[in-house]
Amino acid sequence: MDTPELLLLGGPNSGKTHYAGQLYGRLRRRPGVLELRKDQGTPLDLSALDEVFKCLEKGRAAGHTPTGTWSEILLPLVDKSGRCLDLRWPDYGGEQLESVFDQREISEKWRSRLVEADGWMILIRLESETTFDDALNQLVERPSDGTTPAVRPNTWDANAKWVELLQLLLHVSGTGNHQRLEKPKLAVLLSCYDEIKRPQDIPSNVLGEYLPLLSSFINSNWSSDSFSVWGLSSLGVPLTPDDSNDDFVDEGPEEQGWVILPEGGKQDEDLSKPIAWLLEV
Amino acid sequence: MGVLGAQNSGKTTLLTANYLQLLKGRKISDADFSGSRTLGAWESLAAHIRFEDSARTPSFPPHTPRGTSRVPGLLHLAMRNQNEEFRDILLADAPGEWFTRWSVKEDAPEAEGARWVVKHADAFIVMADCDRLSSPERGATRGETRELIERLGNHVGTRPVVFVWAKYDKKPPEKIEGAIRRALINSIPHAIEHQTTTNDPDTLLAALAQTVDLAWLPPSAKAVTAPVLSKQPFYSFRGHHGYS
Repeated sequence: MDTPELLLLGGPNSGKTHYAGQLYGRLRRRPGVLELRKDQGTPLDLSALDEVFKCLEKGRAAGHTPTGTWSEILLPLVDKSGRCLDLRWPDYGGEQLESVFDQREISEKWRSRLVEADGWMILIRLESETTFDDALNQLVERPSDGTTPAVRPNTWDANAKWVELLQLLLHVSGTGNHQRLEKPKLAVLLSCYDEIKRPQDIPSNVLGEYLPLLSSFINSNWSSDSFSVWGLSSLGVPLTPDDSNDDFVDEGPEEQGWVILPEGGKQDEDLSKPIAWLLEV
Repeated sequence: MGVLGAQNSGKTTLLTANYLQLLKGRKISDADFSGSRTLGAWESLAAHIRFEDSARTPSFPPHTPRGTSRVPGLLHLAMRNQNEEFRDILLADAPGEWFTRWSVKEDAPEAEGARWVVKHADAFIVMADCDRLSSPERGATRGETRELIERLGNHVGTRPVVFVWAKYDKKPPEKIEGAIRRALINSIPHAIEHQTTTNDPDTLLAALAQTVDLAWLPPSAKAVTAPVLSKQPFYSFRGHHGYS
């Protein structure tokens, strides 16, 4: 029995809970490369996903995962060749990741997971990341009022923020980057991919367009077969907490959502593929 | 890398501009960004040049304060090139007053930071302020620039130097430029000249890229000729740093 460890990294509102809910629906009811083991039946404890199931069945967006939450669902999986895996799928409030960045401090629980994890999965919702335009080539023409520039608010560009976060996590997990990294394998999931303006590009190019510095950082630190960039739309369409989406109600949430594979191409309904890639199934 | 130049000659702007280009996914020389231990510092410099809100218009980064520190602030970039060669690049962003003082009086207490930079750097970027070189203060500025070049010439040895005519959107008078160039040829004949202006950020990228290129491979060690000092062979041992 393999008991692989994955670390799921995503800030608040990056779609961790929706992905978890939809992933479970797939594994249970519409299996692809991975499915739940029949002999185990339903996982004993689904309470972490209870809320999201209820919302999705009604065609509504799930609420925010409370900040302090840390829960795990044990998913007994089997792949096409019959190999069995026990995957502990974490769910937590995304603010915990923010506070790693803000406090520059990582709890022992996180650290041991970082060290043990075979793969890291990052969820980035590109459309809600803040990047800044610069005015470098206009400075000379701008009239200077001669005053000392005011102190600036300390808002980081999302590029720098993600690079810093990855550097912190690599440091804490004891991983240096002088040699290209083979481990941890890294899957970057661009969540809410239905919001992207040019979804026909391959996901790694989309990442490079939205977050070029982060893209350079990943490209120049991981060996090319140890990272991959995916487009992910867990729901396929935006849902709101208040209005119902009839497709979800009538067809069931397991019929919704898709991923775009790293090589691009059309929407693939098997939401378990990024995990299968990370686990080398 | 030591970035040398008088106050307000554009040292911090050159460095920040390069960070802003990296943020856009550009390479430096043919190397990709692969990390930085000083992202906080880069970000706070870059913040000045950004459109963040309407109340704060973009501006040049502020004057690097002298502070009480004896060593300059170091900005870090890790880069990896096409041949998989990895380098940690440390850029010394020192206050200009240190170098002005050092040009005049090498062992001045206030020039300690400048001496530190000059001692440790593997390569230099020397900035000349074309805005001031074309202003009524051009004579005095020419003097300061030449003093800096001549002082560095005493210390630089074979270490690479990129001489940057910064703010080249203001072109200095030919005679002024010629006088500085003569000083450069006399004191640092191997220096490579670049012209930069923030109107064209590529020029700032090119200047740093050239410096990184020149310093990418360490200079080859000179053959050690061991002098015969006595009949005891171990007496002539000079340690591993005998070349310096």
